[in-house]
Amino acid sequence: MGNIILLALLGAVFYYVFKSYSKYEKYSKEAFKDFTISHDALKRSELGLFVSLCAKVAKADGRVDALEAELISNMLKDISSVFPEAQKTKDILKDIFNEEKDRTDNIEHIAHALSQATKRSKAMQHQFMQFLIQLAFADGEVTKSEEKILTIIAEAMQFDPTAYHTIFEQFEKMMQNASPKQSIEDAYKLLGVSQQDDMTTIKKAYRKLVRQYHPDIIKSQGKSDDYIKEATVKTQEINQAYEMIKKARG
Amino acid sequence: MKKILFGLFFSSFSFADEMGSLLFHGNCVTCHYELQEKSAPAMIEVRKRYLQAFPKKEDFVKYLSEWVHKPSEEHSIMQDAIEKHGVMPQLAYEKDVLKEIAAYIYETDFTKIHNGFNSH
Repeated sequence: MGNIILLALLGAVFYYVFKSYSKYEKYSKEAFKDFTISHDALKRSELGLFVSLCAKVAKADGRVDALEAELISNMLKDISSVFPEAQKTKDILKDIFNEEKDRTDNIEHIAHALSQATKRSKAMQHQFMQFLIQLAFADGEVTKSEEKILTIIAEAMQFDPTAYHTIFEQFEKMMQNASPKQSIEDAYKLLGVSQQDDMTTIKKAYRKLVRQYHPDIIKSQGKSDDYIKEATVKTQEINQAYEMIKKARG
Repeated sequence: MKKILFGLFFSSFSFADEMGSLLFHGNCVTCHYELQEKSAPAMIEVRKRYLQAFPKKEDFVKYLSEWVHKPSEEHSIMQDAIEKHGVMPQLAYEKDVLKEIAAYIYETDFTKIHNGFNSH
């Protein structure tokens, strides 16, 4: 009898250790259930810090283009969904994004804070860095100013330089290979629309597909390195198909 | 069920609005502050003039997006602003993006608290 109780107790301990560990590896609704939503609390949280960095990377080349805006809009939605009051969270995150996008004086400070907040998990830091690099590549190429900001972030996070360059080069290669090779028929097929559909229908289909396949920072947690890369390629394909149709229609 | 339908309607509405908001705040406010005239006319002024000239959303969006796509002094409805600041430079934005931004400007009362409001 004593043995059974001991065993059950041991089981319970393992369960809690495992559970609290997995909490740190992945974001979930449960992990945030006691989080009090406020502008300050969100801004200090690791996901809020991450949104601030995304703002700086997205705005680095002086403009936010259509695909970047799609990806950011999706990202805000993904992040908000793990917090108790999703809509309120999203509105605050958007404010944080707008406040931070033009500020270049606090990049190091925020990157350092993010690295402190995520120091328990190198895997998580890796996913964040991958996502930021992916965002810089979203508009096709990385400008000097985008690269500069990424470097400042990587250094302030004390991110392994070799790992950083590996990720960067992988994306560079991927973007070169992702150059348009599809025909206009393929483009329509990829978006699941017909040549007779109007632009509003096609745009809706395009947005829905981006929503479905875009790199999701929440889902990426605990997944292999390939997740963001595959999602990036898929998103680029969808975007290229859409651009091709838009161009063909003038 | 009603709640779900309403939620769906609301979320799809706010999504389109959100794209416009992100694009507007990501690209325009560097020069066009919402409420203050600095190196370019304030957004409330631009909106007011366009609303006077084009009360219908369709016309408003069409004219504004086409003008910004290819700014011309001749076709401007804000001659006084051109006298003061010169013609807006051609910034090579896609028509699609400009339409989205124009729709956001049409829908947004910048004097009230709105989506994406910040210190401008």
